[in-house]
Amino acid sequence: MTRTHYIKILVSLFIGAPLLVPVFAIAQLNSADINANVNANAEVRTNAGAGATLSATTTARMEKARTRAAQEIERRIESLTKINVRIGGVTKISDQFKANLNTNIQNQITALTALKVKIDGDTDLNTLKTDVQSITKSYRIFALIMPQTHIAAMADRTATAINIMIGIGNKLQARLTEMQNAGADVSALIATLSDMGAKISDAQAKAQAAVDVTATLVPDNGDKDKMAANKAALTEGRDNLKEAHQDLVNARKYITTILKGIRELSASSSATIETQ
Amino acid sequence: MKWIGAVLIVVAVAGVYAWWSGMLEQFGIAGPAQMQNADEADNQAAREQAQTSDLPTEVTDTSFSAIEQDTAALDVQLQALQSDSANVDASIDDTAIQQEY
Repeated sequence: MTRTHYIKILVSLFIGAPLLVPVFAIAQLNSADINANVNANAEVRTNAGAGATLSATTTARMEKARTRAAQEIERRIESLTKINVRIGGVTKISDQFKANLNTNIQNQITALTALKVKIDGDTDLNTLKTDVQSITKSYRIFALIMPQTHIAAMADRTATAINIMIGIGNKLQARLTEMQNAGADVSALIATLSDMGAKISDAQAKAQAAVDVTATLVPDNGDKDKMAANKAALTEGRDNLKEAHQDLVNARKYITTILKGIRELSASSSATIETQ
Repeated sequence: MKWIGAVLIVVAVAGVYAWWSGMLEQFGIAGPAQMQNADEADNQAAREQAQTSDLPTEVTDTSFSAIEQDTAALDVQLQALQSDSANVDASIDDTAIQQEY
């Protein structure tokens, strides 16, 4: 290599370098851009993406919890409202007992409504969790009030049915006495009427017992013994009412028997008179 | 004659006074106050009977027609008791919706 060659090489490098540098620079820039973009994208995907996923999970959990909570709260409010209307129409239980039931029901509806508003507004998962748990905890109040009120309502209707039966019994008694005075043999029908009276008395005692055993129950507040005692009392009240109902169904059959007997005796009496 | 007439008038006035004041009640003759009380008691009993009666017909109507109406009303109550009984069962056996959080 001559001195001239070295000079040419140096000149070429000198001239070509600026051409290459931009290419290199562009390559670097592009690479940096790509890297930066990749990194930035990776960052976005990693951080924002992971954050979005976590947030979405939390939001979904909270939404699900809210939905379930709302279902339970609405179910209870609906049941309480319905039974409260029913209790408003009862006439046979004492005014005091009726007022107590009404107060308890109203308090529950108010508390549940407030709880639903709070749950709907909860933005923190832990707070929401605590509020939702309070539904379960307060369930025991609901689990007492509802059967207690339903038992009172059924006892009231039982009393109404008893009153109607007593009225019918009095009318049948009058008819039988009249027939007896006219010389008809109504002894069997009077015995049936007596059986009917016994069933009515039993139903009355059972209905009263159902109210007595359940009227003074109070929420257990987490006391398991009390909870068991409440459940036993409610079950006893229910059983009493079922027996009272059965008594009335049997008494109703006696009414049919007596009416049939009266009709038959009346028919035969008319036939006898016509024959004579 | 005037003397006898005067005595009769005095006796009649005394009798009316005795009846009015209730002095004759001890002989089983009710005075106006007692008669009024009896009427009020009867009315009260009738009112109470009307209030407590759940019969759809008059309590004194013993006709077949009335008794049939009464038994129909009874059947409605007995039918409703079945649904009451189901409500009591459901309320005792009720379970809360499972919560998630």
